[in-house]
Amino acid sequence: MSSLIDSTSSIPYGDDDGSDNNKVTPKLRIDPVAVSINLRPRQTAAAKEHFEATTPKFEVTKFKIVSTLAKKRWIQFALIVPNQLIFWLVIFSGLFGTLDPGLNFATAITWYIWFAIVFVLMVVVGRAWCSMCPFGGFGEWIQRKTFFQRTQKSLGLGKKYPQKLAAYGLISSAVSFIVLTFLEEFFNIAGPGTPADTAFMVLGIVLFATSSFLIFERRTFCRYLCPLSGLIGSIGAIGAAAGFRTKDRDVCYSCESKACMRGGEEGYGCPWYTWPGSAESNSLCGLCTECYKACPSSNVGLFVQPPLTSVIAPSRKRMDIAVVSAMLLGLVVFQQVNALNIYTSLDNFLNSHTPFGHYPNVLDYVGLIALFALVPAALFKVGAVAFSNITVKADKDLPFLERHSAFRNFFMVGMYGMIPTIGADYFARQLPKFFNHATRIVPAVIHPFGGTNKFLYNYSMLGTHGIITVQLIIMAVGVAASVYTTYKIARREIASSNRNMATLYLVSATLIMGIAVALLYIPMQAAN
Amino acid sequence: MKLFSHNQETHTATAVLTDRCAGCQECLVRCPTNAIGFNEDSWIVEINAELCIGCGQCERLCPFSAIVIEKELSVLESQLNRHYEPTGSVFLSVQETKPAITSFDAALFEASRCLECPDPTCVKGCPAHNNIPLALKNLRDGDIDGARSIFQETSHIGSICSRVCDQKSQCEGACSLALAGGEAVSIGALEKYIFDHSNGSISHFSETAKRVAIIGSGPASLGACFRLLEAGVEVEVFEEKDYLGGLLNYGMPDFTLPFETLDKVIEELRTAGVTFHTNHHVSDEELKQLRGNFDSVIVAIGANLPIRPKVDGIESAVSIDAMDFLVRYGQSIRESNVEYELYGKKILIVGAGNTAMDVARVARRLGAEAVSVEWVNSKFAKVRPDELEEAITEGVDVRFQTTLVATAGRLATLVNTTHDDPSKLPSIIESSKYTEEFDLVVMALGYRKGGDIELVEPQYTLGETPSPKWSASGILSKSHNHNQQIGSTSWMRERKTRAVGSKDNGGIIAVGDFLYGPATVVEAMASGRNAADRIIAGM
Repeated sequence: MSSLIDSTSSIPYGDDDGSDNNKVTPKLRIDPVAVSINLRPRQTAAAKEHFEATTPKFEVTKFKIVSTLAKKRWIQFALIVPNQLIFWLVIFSGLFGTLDPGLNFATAITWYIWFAIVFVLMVVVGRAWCSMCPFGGFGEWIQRKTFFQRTQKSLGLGKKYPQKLAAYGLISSAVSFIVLTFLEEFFNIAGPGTPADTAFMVLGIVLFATSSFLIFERRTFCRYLCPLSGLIGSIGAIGAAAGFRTKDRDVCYSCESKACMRGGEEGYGCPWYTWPGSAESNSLCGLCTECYKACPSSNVGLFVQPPLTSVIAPSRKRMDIAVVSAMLLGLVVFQQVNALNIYTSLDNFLNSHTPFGHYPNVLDYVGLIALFALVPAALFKVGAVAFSNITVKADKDLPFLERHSAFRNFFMVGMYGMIPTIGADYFARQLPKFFNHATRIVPAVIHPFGGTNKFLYNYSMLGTHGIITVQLIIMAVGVAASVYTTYKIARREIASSNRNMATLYLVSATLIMGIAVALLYIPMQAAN
Repeated sequence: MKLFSHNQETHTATAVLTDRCAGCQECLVRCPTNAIGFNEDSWIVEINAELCIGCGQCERLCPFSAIVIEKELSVLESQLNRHYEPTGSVFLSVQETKPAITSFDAALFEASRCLECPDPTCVKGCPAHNNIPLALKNLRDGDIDGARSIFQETSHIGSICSRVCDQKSQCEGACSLALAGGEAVSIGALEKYIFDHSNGSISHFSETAKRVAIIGSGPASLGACFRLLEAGVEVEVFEEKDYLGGLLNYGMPDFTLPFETLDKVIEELRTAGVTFHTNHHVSDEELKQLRGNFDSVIVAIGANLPIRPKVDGIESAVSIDAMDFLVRYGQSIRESNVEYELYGKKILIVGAGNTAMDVARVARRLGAEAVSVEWVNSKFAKVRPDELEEAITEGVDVRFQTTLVATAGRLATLVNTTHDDPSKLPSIIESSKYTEEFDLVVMALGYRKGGDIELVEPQYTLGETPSPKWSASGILSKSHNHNQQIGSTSWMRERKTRAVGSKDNGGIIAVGDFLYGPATVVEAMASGRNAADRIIAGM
């Protein structure tokens, strides 16, 4: 008797409350709730084929040290805290430190070092930054009312992201990235300009993030609103971290709890709205370890994959990622072009002839980004017209992500193919600042303590020619990866009897666009 | 099949958020109308707007809130008249007042409104977890006895529960249609119809020489009795009153639960071999002896210590406790020997809960004027809305935010209160005092557990987090039409009914109201049944 009474089982009528029950006939212990459930069959016959190419083989969590750490509730807190300290230091130092941007910790770390680190992390790992991000972390602490414990009640309104915007996936994030970049150019924050501006920008992001966390549920901010989400979500797909995935998909299907989605005793439901049971890309896995903790069957693992897998292999290519990639290409090419004299002339002309009188002129900012984003769209449209001989009935009633057309077919293949080039471009674009000024972090750190030594202040790790060479090498690697990626995707996804010609066209288009943006680095002369 | 389906004219929409649907198909397997399909290319679900009837279960259960259903519920409208309209005077009436189904055709129609949800939420809302959809399916197939036997797998006292349960906060509140903001299937009325038009029997699944004693003969006791009989256990019941049924007897007036209904259930038990000892009070001492003579003892003595108000001069007034009132006058009505001593008298009932309403309605049946005062705001009152409505219809004067502060002979001093925050007690408005004459004051402030059997603390056997079977059905999300969190309320009830209290490490099990304080009949029944299950499992 006592074993029955002392039971702490959480499942009604479950036969798990003591060995005494083994004597009991099933008739006695039928769970009336379970008896009344009569579910329809699931449709999972196509799962094997659908997920075959993206299923990662190498599980990192099979190493004891990794699995032990990933099970700890404090692990993400431990990753966030150092970054959190740095960014509060940035705010403090930006507001109260020296006015010299080169010597101020705020500007030095943010614009010379942090951006470069984020890009490396992104390309190598994927959403590694998201797992340690101080902004998301701060908002989440408040939302969950705890630093790292599993609480059951959250703070805030818990609203869903508006349906109409959510239907466009990560495009919201790309828009906020373009807006943030505009503000940063407008106020010359990253120049770097006045350190206080950097502090205000960081504070602004903290406020934006925290208020979003209080309005929306889970990590709606991180997925849809964070300026970096679209960037990391698309370019991060190059990375070798596959993220948290299921070990045995059938276990996931038959799982009663779906604790990885809804939350379980040990972990929250996925804050990113990603189900390990159907994830086929690392794009939307924030590496937060919650599903790993929540899974009642220990059926989730952290996996690594060969680079580019999440770009090439997913059966379901997402239109929002393709559009985000085009927008990001437009933005980075704009940034390349704005280092050229011809842009300065255009901007000055528009500033004196339109109501907007400040660099960067809204018209040329938006116009040029749109123009450079439309170039690949136009090229792929031409390809679709020329080589697609299948007819896909366009259904306007379908939501954005689900529509089909010959153009979309080509555009998605092409833009996914361009992802390595775009990633290389963002990285190369960042290099002059890194090579010319990264060493300033040393005097910037010493400065508040009375250090006046400027010996690393004007130290360039590489000369102009050296930087251009490195930029071109990185671009060459990116473009080569794009050619390979485009080829691989096109072979599988182009719905045309003319597949060989179509593939050749798509590969050539990515190659030509890649070479064009790479060559821009020569006249840019390693400008910041 | 369309993923987004907007109807411009009716502004309805069914949508799958294609960005967030993870293809887990939790919705697909639970859709009552098979309106959800699966797109193997995108690995997401699709809604067939033409098959969708707008019950919104998918929207409630989607783990990633990836489904939006903005659609009027399109199901058959109930033809059952749910509003109480007394026919003629209530004077001396023992007519049942709850809505009833009067014909087989009407029963078929109402039963056909059931969607037969693959993962029925009503079953979770019912504290006994009756398999309602299956029972109603049997009824639709014309098999009333079959329907009854489905109910009897989890509860033998359907004839009682169907009459006394607050279905709005249980099965009917959890009905998919109610959660979607519509009119629930009238499960209570159907259950009543099924039990009143069929005959039950106790099916034995094992034989044993074990003997169990049960202290008390209320709903918890009845629940345990039936379950123990099924297992072939010999049962003896010890009741301290001279009548059986505990609260079910006089605590439920005949216009709610006719005596014949209760009597039929008790006779069923007696016929099946249960020995009833009435007028037998079991003390803590005797309990130990019983423990020696029986294999197990279940203590189901309820919570029946009346809570008394602090009122100046109450001893000078003619006052009586609600239960004493109900027994005395309920008996006189039932046995048709009414002495008309309350006729034309004015009665003050302190409290406006469900017992207070019963008192007031009995008083009305005896020709008295009944005033019920309750110091909380009507918005936060614990009374069942249907009982309150019925009482007011019968002419009971219910005054919320009013309380009794003093009595002097027939003169009662009443006062108004302010009460805007349910988490705080109401505060008295001193300036609003007024006096009124009453012939009798009835205390109906509720009950607490107590007595000379040592109290046993409940031990919860369930964690706070609802089990997957609950969360997966979507019952835990907020329902459309009321703010009541029907799912978490049901889960709280589940935790209660699954709790047991044990003394001396086994052998004596405390259940029902005695264990966790005043609750409902069906919870007590389920609690008793659960204790019986534990005894059987231990054998």
